[in-house]
Amino acid sequence: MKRILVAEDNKLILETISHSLTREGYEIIKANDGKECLKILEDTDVDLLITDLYMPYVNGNEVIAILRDERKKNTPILVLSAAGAEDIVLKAFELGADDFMVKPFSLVELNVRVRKLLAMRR
Amino acid sequence: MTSIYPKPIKLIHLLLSICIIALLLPLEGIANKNTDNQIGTSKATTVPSSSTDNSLLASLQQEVIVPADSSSSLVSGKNETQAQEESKSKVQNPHNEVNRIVLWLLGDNNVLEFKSRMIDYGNNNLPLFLRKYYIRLIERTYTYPIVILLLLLIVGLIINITLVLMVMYFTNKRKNHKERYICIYRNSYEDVLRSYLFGEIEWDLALLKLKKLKKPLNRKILTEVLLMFKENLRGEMDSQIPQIFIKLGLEKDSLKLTKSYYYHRRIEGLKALTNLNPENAKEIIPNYLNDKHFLVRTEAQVSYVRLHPENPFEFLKTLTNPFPRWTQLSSFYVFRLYQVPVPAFVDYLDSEIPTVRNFSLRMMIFFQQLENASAIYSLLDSPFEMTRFLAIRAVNDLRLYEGKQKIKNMFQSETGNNKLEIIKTLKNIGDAEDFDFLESIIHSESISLKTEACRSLYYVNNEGRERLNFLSQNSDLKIDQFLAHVTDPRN
Repeated sequence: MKRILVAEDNKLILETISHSLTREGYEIIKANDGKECLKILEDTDVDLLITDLYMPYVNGNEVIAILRDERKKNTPILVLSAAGAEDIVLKAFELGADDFMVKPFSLVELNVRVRKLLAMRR
Repeated sequence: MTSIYPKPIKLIHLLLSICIIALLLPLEGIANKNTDNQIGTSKATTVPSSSTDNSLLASLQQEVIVPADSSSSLVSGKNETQAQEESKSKVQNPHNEVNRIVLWLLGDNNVLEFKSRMIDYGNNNLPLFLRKYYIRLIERTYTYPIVILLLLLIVGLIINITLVLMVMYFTNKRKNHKERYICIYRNSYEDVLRSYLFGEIEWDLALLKLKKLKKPLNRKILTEVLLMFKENLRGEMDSQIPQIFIKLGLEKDSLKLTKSYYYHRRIEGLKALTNLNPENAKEIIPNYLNDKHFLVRTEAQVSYVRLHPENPFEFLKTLTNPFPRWTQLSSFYVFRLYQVPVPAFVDYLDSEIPTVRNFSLRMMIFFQQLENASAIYSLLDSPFEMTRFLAIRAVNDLRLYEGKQKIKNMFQSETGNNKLEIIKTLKNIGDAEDFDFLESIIHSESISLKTEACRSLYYVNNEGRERLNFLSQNSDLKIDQFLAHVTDPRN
C-alpha cells in the first residue's frame, strides 16, 4: 500500500483529502504543520508528500527545500495552495516541487495527479 | 481607545463606587450622635457640643500645633484636671489616638486647607444639584475617624478586586466552554457532511446526524463549515454544498444577518449568500454597494465582481463613495481568481470619483487596452496629481506616441514625481526630436531629473548615446558619473 504524507494546517482540508485518498486505497499520514511534517519525514518513508505552502512553524517551501537537500530526494511533492500567483508557483517548482494545485481544487483531479506522481516514481 | 475591561467589569466598578458613597451617606445620623469620634480639626470650625469635645479639641490643638515640644507643653501648659480628662477621653476613644497621630504627621493646617480647597472646588466646578451631596461627603470624610475610612476603602477595594476576578473567571470559563462547544459541533458537522458529500450516507441519515440545528449558534457553525467546503473544493461537491445550505433553510439566517445593525454581521450574511446562494445574493448586493460602513461596501463590491461576470465593474457607475485601494486590490484578486472576462475600463474613466478613474487607468495599463487612447489624453489635464501620473504612465506603457508632445508641454508645471515619469516615458517613446528637451533637463539642478534624463537619452537610440558622449566631452556638465551610473547593470 502506498504511503502518502499530507501536511495541511486547515483541519477540514486535511481530513477531506485524507478521506478521499483513503477511499482510493492509500495509507495516509497527517501533519498539522511544517514542523510535524519534517519530524514524520525523518522517521518514516513516504511515497508522496502533499503539502500546503502557508503553514505554522515551517512553511511549505522550507519543507520542500529541506526534503530536496536531504536523503529523500526522489519523494514526489505535490503542492496545494490558495496562492496561485506565477512567482509563487515558480518558486515552488524551483525548490523541487513536482506538481502544483491551486485551491479551490477538485478531489477527482487531486486523485488523478496523485496516481500520476506515484506512477512516475515507480 | 477601547477599555481593557469587559463591560460587566466596568459596570461593577461603577456600582461599587456608588455603594461606597451610599455606605458613607447613611452614617450621617450616627455621626451626629457620636461626636466623640470626630476629628478635632473638623470640629475647630464648629461649636463643641460637650466638655469631652472641649478637652479633646484643646489637647489636639496643643499637640498638633507644637508637635516638637509636645512633651514639654503637656507638662508645663496643662493643669492636672485637664490631664485627667484627656487620659479619660483617650481610654474612651481609641480612634482619637490614631487621629492625633495622623494630624501630627500631616499638620492640622494642611488638613484644614485641603478640606477648604475641596469645598471650594465643589462650589466652583460642580453643578448645583451635586454640590450639596459633594459637600456633605467632604464633611463626612472629615467627621469620621480616618481609620474607619481607610478600612472602608480597603474593604471596598477587596470586594472590587474579588468581583473583577470572579467576572474574569466566569467570562473566561464561559468563553472556553463556547469554544469547546463550537469545536465539538464543527467536527461533528464536518464528518457528517464529508460522509454525505462522498456518498457514504443518505440525506435523511445526514439530517438525523446534524444535531441541534434549531439553535442559532449551531446553524452558524454549520454555515461556516459549508463555507469552508465551498471555498476549498471544486467539482462535483461544489454544486452539492449550496443545495445543503438551501435545504436546511440557512439562507434565511444569512438574509436576516444582512439586515443587522452591526456591520460585521451584515458582512457575514453577505459572504454566506455570495458563496452559497448566489442567485439570492445578486438581488440584495446592490443595496449594500453604498453602505455607510466601508467594510460592508468592500464586501458587497467584491461580491458584485464575482457574481456579475458579464459586467463585473458596472457598479463603479453608481458609486457615491471613494473606491479605496484595498477594495481595488480585493476586486482585482477576485476578478483574476474566478477568471472573469475583462471589461472595457474606458467606460469608467469619466467617473466623478477620482479613485475610480485611477483604478480604471491602472486596469487599462495592466490589460493593455489601447482602443480608447484618446480618453486617456483628457486625463492628462486632471487637477489630481495621481490621475495625471497614471495618465502619463499609460502613455508610456501603452506606447501612445500621440501623447508625447502633450506630456512634454506639461513638464514645467508638473510635480517632481510626474516630471520623472515624463522623462521615463521619453526613454520608451522618444526620438531625436526630444534630444534638446532631455539636454535642457541635464542642464538643470535636480540630481534625480538629471540622472533620469541621462538614462533616457542613453537608451533612446545610438544617436542619443553619441549626444551624451559629445556633451560629456564638450561641456562642463560633468556627466561622466551620471553616465557611469545609468550604464551600470546593477541599476
